[in-house]
Amino acid sequence: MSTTETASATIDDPLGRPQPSLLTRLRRIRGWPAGLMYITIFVLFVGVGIFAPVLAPQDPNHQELVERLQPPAWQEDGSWDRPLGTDDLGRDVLSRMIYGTQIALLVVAIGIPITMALGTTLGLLAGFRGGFADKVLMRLVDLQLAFPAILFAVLIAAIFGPSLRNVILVIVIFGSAAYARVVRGEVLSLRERDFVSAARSIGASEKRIVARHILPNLVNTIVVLMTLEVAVVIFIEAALSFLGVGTPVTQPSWGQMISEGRDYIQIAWWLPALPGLAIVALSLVANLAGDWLRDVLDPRRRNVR
Amino acid sequence: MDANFTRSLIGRLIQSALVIFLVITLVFIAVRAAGDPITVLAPFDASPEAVEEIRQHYGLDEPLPVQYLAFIWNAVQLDFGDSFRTGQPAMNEVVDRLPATLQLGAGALIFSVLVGVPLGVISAVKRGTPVDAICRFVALIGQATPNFWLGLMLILVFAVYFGLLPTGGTGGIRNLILPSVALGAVTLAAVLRLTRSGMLEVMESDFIRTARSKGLTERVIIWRHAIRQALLPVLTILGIHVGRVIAGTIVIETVFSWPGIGRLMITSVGSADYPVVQAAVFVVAIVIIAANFIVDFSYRFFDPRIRAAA
Repeated sequence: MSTTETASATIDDPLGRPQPSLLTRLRRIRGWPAGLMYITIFVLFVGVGIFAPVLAPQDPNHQELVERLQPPAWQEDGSWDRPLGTDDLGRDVLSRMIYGTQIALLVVAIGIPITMALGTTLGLLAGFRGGFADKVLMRLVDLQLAFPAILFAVLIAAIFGPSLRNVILVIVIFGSAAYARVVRGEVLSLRERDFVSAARSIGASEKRIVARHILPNLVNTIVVLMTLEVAVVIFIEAALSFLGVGTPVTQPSWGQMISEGRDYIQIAWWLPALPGLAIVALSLVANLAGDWLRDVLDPRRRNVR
Repeated sequence: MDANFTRSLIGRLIQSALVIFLVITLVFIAVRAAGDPITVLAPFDASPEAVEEIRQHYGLDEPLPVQYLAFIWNAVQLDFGDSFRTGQPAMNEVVDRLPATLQLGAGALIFSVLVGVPLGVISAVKRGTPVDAICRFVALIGQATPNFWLGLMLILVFAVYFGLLPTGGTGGIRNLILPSVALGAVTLAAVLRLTRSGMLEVMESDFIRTARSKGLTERVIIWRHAIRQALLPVLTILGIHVGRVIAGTIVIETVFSWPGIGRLMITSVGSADYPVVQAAVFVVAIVIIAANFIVDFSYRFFDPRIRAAA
């Protein structure tokens, strides 16, 4: 990842030329149709998550044992009362998946901003201050790489019991390393640039240099990274719930549904298959949006893709 | 081997040792917070005296700092104590399981490179064609699919539906196929994308133009000249992915009932078997760090410019 020439040129335009308005800049972005599609689909997911109680046809935890293991509607013996069938306890799969969307997005909405804030702060500290802070941070990042996050999560769950809070804790601790590394790298090159030396030579404080000159140049990178981390976060939540150390059983999540459906793979394919498709769809849209944003924000990469 | 090289090698070794020290310290704290092994070690109706005796036997009555120092002292000698469950040395239990995990990890990495590199090259050479579109779609799906779910779907299709391959367990190369594919898919996607973008970049460079003007065939240019340059970033990403693949074995081994370290870790945490958890985390950390180490230094030999700079 590298900084964009255009970004620093507009932020520190030496000639003080007027900057194009936000609307003009938005209009200049290429590839709007694709981008709009990704954003729309993502917003749809968010809508499903927010309005889960309204949209879900059934209570996701309501069991009806006589109706257990009903196949989806389009299969023989399926019925539209249970569009995606029922699980081994006769719970409605569609309703559980709708509530699962809520959990997945909740983890994203809480986990990613906290992870970003922590990672960026650490990266700024290490990159700008250097020296001891940098050494300590880079060893911590190595530690995160050498200690599997999943195992850490299993240990945490053994200490505190499975909960959504623990899932987010694991995501923040292990996810922040990615931000810290990237931000550190960018800061190392930014702080040697002319506009930073210029700011320093006119007596700008460290705080001001970071806030006014370094951070604005990091925004693009961080936004792209956050978008690409959406899929990672969803994966971690799903994997932890799959291992039984994620969300508690009263909160249906996609990973948990896959884990429960695993035992019925021979007779009820839809139980492990359908929640996974939801994970793939949401991760795919988030990744596509991230790639699109990177191309938009960093024109130099465009011809490489 | 100049002095610079030796110095950076020693520096890296010291850093690695420090990281391993941090890893085992963290796991020491975590397992002790996770549960009291007495619940596993002592029979349910054991008398308080008997429980106390067991505590003393395993050194669990000592204050934590003393336990910690003893732990580090023994760890340096690769002694992690005996498993609470089986009574065998914990290190032996882990080392017994290591080949299975390494097999699975190697299978995943080999699969990702053998499929990812050619697809990436083809995708770049046939840029803008339907072939390129399909390759990019494969990469996108690979990145968006959780490995454990992919594993289950592979079982569903190839084992349950077609009955071609076993659902899990060990035995032969046929048992290794599905778990390797499931575990390697994410790495494959990354390798494909990086190979593609690397090739696109390299094909524009001067030395390729020179090769073309010499009249070399396109095949020689691509597979002999361009690919060497394009694969450098792939090497780096493989180093990073070794850690992910090893971490991924924890879930994949559960899905495919694979008797490796991953499953051993999960069951040992469940039964508060400290010595085994500690030994397993130690071995996993060593494998990950060693892999990154090898990648970093092999990089120098692949790229003469880095060798000169170092």
